[in-house]
This record gives sequence, structure tokens and C-alpha cells, in this order.
Amino acid sequence: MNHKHIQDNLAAYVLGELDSAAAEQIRTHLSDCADCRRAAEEMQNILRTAERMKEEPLDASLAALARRRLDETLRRLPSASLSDRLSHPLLRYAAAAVILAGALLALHILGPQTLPDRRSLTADTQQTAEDAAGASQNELEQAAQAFRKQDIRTLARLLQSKHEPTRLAAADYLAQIGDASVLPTLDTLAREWTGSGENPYAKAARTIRNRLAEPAD
Amino acid sequence: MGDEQFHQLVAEYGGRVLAIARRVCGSDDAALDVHQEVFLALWKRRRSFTAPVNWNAYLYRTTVRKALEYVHKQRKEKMLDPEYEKTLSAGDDPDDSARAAELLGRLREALRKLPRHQAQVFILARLEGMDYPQIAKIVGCSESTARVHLHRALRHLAHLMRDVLEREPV
Ligand SMILES: [Zn+2]
Repeated sequence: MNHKHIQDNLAAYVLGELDSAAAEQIRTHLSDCADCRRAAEEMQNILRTAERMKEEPLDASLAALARRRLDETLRRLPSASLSDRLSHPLLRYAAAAVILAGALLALHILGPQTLPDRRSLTADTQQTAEDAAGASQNELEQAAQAFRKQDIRTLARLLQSKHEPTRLAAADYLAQIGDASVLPTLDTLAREWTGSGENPYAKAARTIRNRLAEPAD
Repeated sequence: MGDEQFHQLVAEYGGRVLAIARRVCGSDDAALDVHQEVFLALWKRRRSFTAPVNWNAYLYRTTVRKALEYVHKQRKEKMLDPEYEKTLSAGDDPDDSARAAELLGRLREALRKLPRHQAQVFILARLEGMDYPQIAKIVGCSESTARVHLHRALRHLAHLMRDVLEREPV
């Protein structure tokens, strides 16, 4: 092998990939050629440095810390609770209901001066709107939180809320993570559903049944 | 990908992501940041993964890429810090440890300057201890191409670090 050929094979030599005959040829050349010797030493030095890099200890507590930090960040992400939720048609409906309830509440707070047609709302309606806005918003937040924690029991409880937006949100979350335990409630709600369009509770129950039927991997 | 699967991936691959990031970047803080970046990016894109994904390969590639980017960013910030050169020479044995720290720092920087496939293959082979068949699967090339990348990476690194390697033997 000439000098050029040796240089082409130095990396393989340093990495120990050559058979003994080829390695011997390289060694013979290295004893005569300072340039190739230096190049081989440089590469060996790189490998030793990489070896030290590989040996640097990894603190055992780091994994738990990383996990906590990630969970914390995900919890604070606004997109996780808003844009994702709104990507579901069901939840757009739920959000719209909350906004409507909020608007009714605003009518109530702003009073007659700014809204002369307030008299069209009865005292009862105002009270209901106020309750619905507060309770429903609170429950929707609980549902989102339960979903992030994969807390099926809380979602099952919220599925029985007296507020439709909460029930719809809980059904949608449960469609994604729910198990067989929530199917009876979903089936009951599906039977009682009188709204137009696709029955959201039936759909959620179907999604869960389909998932349960899939083979576990 | 559902949220549940995302959390499973974090549980299954989080440690490996952290270990690679720790080696490539050289500090716990950096490793934590890269871990966060890798999984946050995945979280934001999770709805777009509808077909089956080789998560092992995906996460190795993403982690190596983000870790190298991090080294680059860190280096740029540190160049502005007048204390940086001093931190390089901290240690018990001033000569040896300073020299070792310098070599490690220079290798991290040099890796960042390599073409992406060369850097990936070098890291998987020499820091993760993988063989060519394993590397080929992750990088998405043939075994012989992986071998060529590693040889080139080694030559390339020697070239990039020639000034510091020549000064004195370790
Ligand atoms: Zn020669």
C-alpha cells in the first residue's frame, strides 16, 4: 500500500475494522511515515476524548427532574388547553356555551344603563346564566385538568354534571382516555340526548368500545 | 398520537434522550433543556403523527440534532462571557484537567460543525456504542454508508481539532 492508500484506510485502522494482514501493512507504513503516524495519533486522540465524553457520569436524579420540568411546562402551555380542545367539534360547542353564558352574565353585570333591552331577561334567566357561567367554566377547567392527569374517575363524575357543556367536554375527553367503567353513563346520556346532529355521547361510547376492541401492543 | 401515547414515550425514552443530551452537551442543565425541547416539540406535533413511527430512530435523531444545536447556541453565548476561558482551566490538576476539559469542549464544538449525518453517526457509534446495523436503521442509510460517514467524521474531526491535538500529546 502506498502513502495515499494508507491515508484512506487510517480511520478503519484506528477504529479496529481492518483484518490483521491489512493492519500489519498500516503499522509497517506508520513506522516509516511521520505524516501518517501523526494523522493516526490525532484520530486516536479523538476516540479517547469521545471515550471520556461517554464515561461522564449521569446523575441518577436527573431523569425524575427532567420529567417534573416537562410536566410543569405542559401544564402551563396555553395551547394544550385551548387550541387542542377547540379542535374538537364537541368542545367548540362546549366553549360556545360557556361564552354564551358569560355574555348573559355580562348583561347582568353591566346593568340597564348600557343595555336598555335588559328587561327582556327575567330575573330567573339572569340567575341561571350567572350560575351556569361560573360553575360550567370551573367544571370545564376541572375536566381539562383531569384529562391531563388521565384522571378517569373525575371525568366520570363530571360526565354526570347538570351542565351540558361539562358533560360534553367530559364525554370528549373520555372518548380519548376512558375505559369500560364509563360506558353505562355514556349509554344513558346517549339515550337521553335530544339535540340535533350526531349524538355526541353515543359517539364517545363507540370510540371507547372500538379502542377496547383493539389488540393491546 | 394520543396524549396517553405521548406520556408513554416520555417514560420509555426520556432517560435515553437525557443521556445523549448530557454527553453531547456536557452539562446537566443543558441535558434538561434538550430533554424538554425534544418532548415539547413532539407534544406540539403529536396530532400530526397518524401513521406508525419508529420512535427509537425518531427520538435519537431529534435528540442528537437538538443537542448539537444547543452546543452551538451555548458556545455563542459563552464567547461573550469573559469568565468562560477561566472555567475551562478549573480542576484539581491544572494541566491535565484543563487540557482534558479543553479537548472535550473542542470535540463538542467540532461535532456541531460536521455535516449532519457524520455527526449523527459519530455520536451513535462512539458515544452510544452502536454498531453499523443499528446506526443504519436510525439514520436511515445502508450499513456501508454509515461506515463511510464514521470514517469521514473521524478524519474531519481530526482536521477541525488539529491545532489543539498537535500542541502536546495527552
Ligand atoms: Zn504516509
